[in-house]
Amino acid sequence: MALRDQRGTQISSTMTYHETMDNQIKADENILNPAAWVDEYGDYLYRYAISRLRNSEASEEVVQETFLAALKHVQQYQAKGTERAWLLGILKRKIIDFIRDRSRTKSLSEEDLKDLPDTFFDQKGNWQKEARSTSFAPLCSLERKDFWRILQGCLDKLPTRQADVFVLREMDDQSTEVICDELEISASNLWVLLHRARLQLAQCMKNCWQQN
Amino acid sequence: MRTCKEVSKLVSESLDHELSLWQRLGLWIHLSMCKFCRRYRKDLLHIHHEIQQRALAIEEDIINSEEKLSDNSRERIKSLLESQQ
Repeated sequence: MALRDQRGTQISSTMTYHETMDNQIKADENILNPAAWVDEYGDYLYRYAISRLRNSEASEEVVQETFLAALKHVQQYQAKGTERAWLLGILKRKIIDFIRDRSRTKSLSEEDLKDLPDTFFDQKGNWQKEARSTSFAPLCSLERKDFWRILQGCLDKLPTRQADVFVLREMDDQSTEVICDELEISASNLWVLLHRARLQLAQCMKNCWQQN
Repeated sequence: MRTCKEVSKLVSESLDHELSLWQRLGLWIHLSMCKFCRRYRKDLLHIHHEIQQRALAIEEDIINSEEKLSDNSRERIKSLLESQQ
């Protein structure tokens, strides 16, 4: 009994040792084999990117940038978390960089900051009839899977900068300070952009839903 | 008395920074009297809440998604990485 136990323990500790070595080697192989990276994590990163950037070309670009940066900084990888989490961390940074560059190429346009169109409020500042929230179809009764599809569709219709700040703020939960810093805009401009994004999104989501 | 147009902006801003006492007061007085702005606020809070919930399940979403990196870019990235090694 004791022998079997001892052997059992020995075997299992040997296996554990081997397993550890195997995992280590596997991890090293992955690190040193970028082609495997692309197969293993490419789709994962791409899906994340497209949920943030809503554009396949842009998403492919940031995924490529992510792998290149990862290769360059491979020595900095510490096996504390998973490789995938490490790559996702790099990707998130690349997405912010991409949004920043995209936002730099044009200054805050009239479209972003000019007074709200009359579609929402009348001259006195009251809700226009069509823009009012109705009680018979509140957004909160929208099913979750429909919610997401409709939200993505409506984000697509917003001016890019408005959609970008909304994504950074609401989806990535970035602080307003970080967003202002990255996009080099003032806090009050950011609030205007977010306000306009939310106003149009809420409206668009209701319309899409009712047309369903 | 604030207009709905002003209040809709305050409702949005309340999600981004702390409002001043005056702003809060104006907001709540208006909301107590205006059902359209109350509904608008409810809509925004709902969108905010749904997205937060969603963020918690992001892994699941990503795994269930059918989006794929195109074969072209897959190959392009692979050969780029090889050339950089």
